[in-house]
Amino acid sequence: MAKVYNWQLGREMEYPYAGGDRERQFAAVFNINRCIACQTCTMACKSTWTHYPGQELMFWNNVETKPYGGYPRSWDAKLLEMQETLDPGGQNWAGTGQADVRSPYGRFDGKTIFETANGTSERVTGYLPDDDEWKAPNNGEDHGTKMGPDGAKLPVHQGWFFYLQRICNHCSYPACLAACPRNAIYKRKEDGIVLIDQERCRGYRKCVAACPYKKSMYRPTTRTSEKCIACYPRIEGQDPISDGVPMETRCMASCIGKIRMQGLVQVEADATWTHDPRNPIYYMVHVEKVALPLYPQFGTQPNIYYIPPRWAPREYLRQMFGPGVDAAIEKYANPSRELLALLQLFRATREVIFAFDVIPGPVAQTLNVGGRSRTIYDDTVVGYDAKGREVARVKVVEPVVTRPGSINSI
Amino acid sequence: MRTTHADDDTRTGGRARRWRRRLGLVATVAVVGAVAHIAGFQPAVSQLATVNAYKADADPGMDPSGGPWARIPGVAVPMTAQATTYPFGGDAIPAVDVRALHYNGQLFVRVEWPDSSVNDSTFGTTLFADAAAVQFPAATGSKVPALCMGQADTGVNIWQWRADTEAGVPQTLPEEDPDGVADHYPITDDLGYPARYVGNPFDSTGAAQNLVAEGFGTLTATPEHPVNAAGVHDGNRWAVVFSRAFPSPGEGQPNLTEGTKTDIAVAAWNGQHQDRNGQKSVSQFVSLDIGDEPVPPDRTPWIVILLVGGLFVGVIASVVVWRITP
Amino acid sequence: MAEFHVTFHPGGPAAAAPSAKELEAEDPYELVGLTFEVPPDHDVDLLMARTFVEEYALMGYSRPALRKLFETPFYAGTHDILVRRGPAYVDSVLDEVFGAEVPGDEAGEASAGAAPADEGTSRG
Ligand code: SF4
Ligand code: SF4
Repeated sequence: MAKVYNWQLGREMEYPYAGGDRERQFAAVFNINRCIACQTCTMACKSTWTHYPGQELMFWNNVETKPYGGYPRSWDAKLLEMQETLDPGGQNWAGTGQADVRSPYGRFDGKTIFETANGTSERVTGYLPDDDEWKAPNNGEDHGTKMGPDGAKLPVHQGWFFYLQRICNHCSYPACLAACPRNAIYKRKEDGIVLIDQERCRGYRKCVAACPYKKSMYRPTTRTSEKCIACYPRIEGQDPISDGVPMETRCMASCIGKIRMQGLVQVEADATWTHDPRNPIYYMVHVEKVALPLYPQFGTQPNIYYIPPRWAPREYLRQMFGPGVDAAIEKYANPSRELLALLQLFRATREVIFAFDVIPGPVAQTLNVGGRSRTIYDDTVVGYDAKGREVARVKVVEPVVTRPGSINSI
Repeated sequence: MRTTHADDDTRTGGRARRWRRRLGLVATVAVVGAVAHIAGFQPAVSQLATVNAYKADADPGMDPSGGPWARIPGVAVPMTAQATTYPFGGDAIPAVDVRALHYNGQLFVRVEWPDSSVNDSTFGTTLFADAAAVQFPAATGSKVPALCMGQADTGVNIWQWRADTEAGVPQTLPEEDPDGVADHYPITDDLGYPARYVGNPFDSTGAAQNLVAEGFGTLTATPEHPVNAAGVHDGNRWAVVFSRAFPSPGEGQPNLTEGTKTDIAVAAWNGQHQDRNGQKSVSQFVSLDIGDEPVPPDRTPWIVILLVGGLFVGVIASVVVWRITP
Repeated sequence: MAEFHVTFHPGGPAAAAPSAKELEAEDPYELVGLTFEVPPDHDVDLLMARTFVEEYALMGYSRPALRKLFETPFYAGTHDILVRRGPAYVDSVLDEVFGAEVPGDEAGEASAGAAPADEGTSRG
């Protein structure tokens, strides 16, 4: 076991391989507050990559309804329980977040999934879900309860819940890669994308058991495991319409709720992020700290960052996103001018945005949010692609078109 | 012997045939057991044990239950859980019975071990296959490589048989699962099967794989398929025959001939215990001697006559004793 | 702005009664859920309503435009709150965000105010 630095945990941790060679990291911010669970992302991925025989149960992108649903069923609750059993009472955070990029959320004092494993039969604590557990990708979403004389009825949700959008986290310290006894999984230095070599994979499913997010999946018709490939031809700028610059993945580009923004961040040898506040992902993760990693305590340093839902009980959110939740929600509910403008840049273009600028605009309206006076400015936000060319320009105030009722038919 | 998808009209047809074969084998194994008992197992003591490859006078074929196998002694090779490299595990198989033959420039190795469950499908995330492998030093007469996977300067050649690849490649969910339904597969070309597209050996029908390795994590399948393998399960035990022509098919694979003395090690996986990769039962190296000693002639009829005769005499004696007892 | 007319036709044309099917507890696809106790002071409707109102208000939506979101049954989330808690409750939430006295503008018509002098944020 080598020692590597995990900035999300604010400490060094055990990992089978030393870090090293890396340049850029695939990363994204998902704003949970705006997801409507339309599953367009899920279908964009499915219709691109996983509609072949043997991939019937595969959803590299899925959206699950928390806390009821999970794909596979109860994946997170199961692993949290295993970790608690192996590290009783130890899964705790200490200290407070620092301003630097090395420990923004304090320090995690518990054991990661690499540290609770015995190292002989397992390098990573995990489990192998059976096929039934993969068969209901969004159990707990609105669904008919009972057929009766009046037809099926949907439950009307009165309790709180939120949707969790999930793809492979292209972790800085991938559990799948650590667990593979074949060296069949690799992480690319140019974008940090984690891939399974389909020629070397022998279907041992060690990665399926090890991935805490359960994003490595077994395909019985080829007897190999497959996973989200981060739409790497698009990230490489190979798509003819992107003119050679990185383009957002299928699941990101199709998001009609405009909850997703994807980027590539510059990283150091120890996997911390190079200072770059003009990069929108860096800005949201490290400057505003409004977007947080999913279950950072597992220790893989995942790279999909979530703006937590402001209405869900905090205890639950703190377990899911770590101790940065309260500050993140405060930032989100009372955004700075720049953050407010940046949120409008989500889904404004299909090119990956490498830098953004905010041009001040006039006052749009004054609100009195929870007793606090808030002024909204109609600023303009501009996004630039990998070559520094302007690819998007939008304003804070959404244009509204009201259709007359008489032609409002769907 | 190779049960592929193509030669079965339906999966169930294939299964039924295999079962008939298995039932037939139960009878054979009784006789094999008797003969083996008469011949006496050679207990393997690590390197001291020797598996003799007898010279057959007729093609033994790939049937592990075939005639000549019953007439040569088996070497009981003890197995232990693999505990040298991650992932440790696999102690479900205590020992294997190893026999060898050669015929017309072809080596045949037969491995048999107890396993009460047949795991010949990997169509499911938690399903793992029964499997067995034999391993040779890459060059005969070379220093014996480290048991597992060899090392950088002395490689090993591994012949692996897997119950699931012998049973064929299932194509779709509905084909395998009676409850499975698929509306439509818009495209089914090889591009949608990346493993197949790049020539991954598991995405193919065929029971045997020929692999070379020079250390852990270096195991690589050769592009050619010089090794044959076929397995039969009798309800309690697997018996698998491997075969390959004597001349080395390529780098990292031993050149064999009559008179070759080399080493052989065995590994076996129990799918029921989710054995795979390093999680397996393994043996030490034992010697393999490809000699000119012929396969003993078929004494089965004599043994049967002896057994039946003995039984007959016994019955007569019992009747006589019963008659004369007041 | 034109009036918004919505008419519902519940059930559609009369049809033969569909067959009834009870839940099967052992059905592997039935909800196997995790439940969490909602803290007693956790007013779900208020949190949801505030979220909806603020999300849109921050993008320049006016108070009347937002009230429409509650009135229109097509917006199930907001409309459910109106049905459950009544119009006065919705107005109180709108008051909380827009201030009770501020008269609403027409949707999208942001009043052009003076450019900010002291409200800018700095990056990095
Ligand atoms: S999310 Fe899972 S599959 Fe993706 S890189 Fe991390 S450990 Fe691997
Ligand atoms: S990044 Fe691409 S491959 Fe991965 S989940 Fe999204 S659409 Fe699928």
